[in-house]
Amino acid sequence: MRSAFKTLLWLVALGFALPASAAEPGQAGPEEAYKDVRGYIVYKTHCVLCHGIHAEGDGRAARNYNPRPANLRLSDKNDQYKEMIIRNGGAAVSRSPFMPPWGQELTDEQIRDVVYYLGVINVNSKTVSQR
Amino acid sequence: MFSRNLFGCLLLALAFNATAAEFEVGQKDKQFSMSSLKIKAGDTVNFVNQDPFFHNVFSLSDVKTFDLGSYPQGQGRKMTFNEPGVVEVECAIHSQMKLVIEVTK
Repeated sequence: MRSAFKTLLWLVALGFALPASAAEPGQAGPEEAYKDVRGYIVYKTHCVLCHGIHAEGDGRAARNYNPRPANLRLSDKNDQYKEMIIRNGGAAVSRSPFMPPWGQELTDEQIRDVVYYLGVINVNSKTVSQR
Repeated sequence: MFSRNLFGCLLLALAFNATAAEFEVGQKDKQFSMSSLKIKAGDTVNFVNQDPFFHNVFSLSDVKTFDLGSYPQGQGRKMTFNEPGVVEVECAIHSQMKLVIEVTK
């Protein structure tokens, strides 16, 4: 009876552990997939205006600026740099002063999520599972 | 003759300045302090950030396309509207912020 209870406990524990390791190698786990979706929502809400729906720097406000907003699919900047420019704005890193500082508007998680999303859509980036 | 012309020009310039007005629009609680504003061509609008976070002001209207950048609490940015027409003003950081400025002759 006692060993049956012990087995049951193990099965319950295994049940909790499974979803975290259920992803096949080379595929994004559920948490990563959600991060991707969350990042896309942040991007679509706050970045599309200038950077465009496909992140190619061709949003509806892009014609206002010279140089044009960055094509984020081709960006060669690393995640730390992207996080810094998103948080502090373009002027803080001697780039376009028209890139607003989003640090007061977005949460840390939202900034991490959108940086992750930008990595996913970047043509030069590694696959999601390798990031 | 020259001094007469100069005097005329000065008078004209003074008359223009006397008619041009300056309006103030606040940015508070993620809203413009008014949803619409009527001004005359040549008038200036000062957009003042009264929130404890950054705001931006831009417009993509055909009459007037501009971006005044982002600025913190207590600061303002001015824009003069010389052409008559309707100018839709927005904030790039807070997409719910909208203001329509009607510029008349």
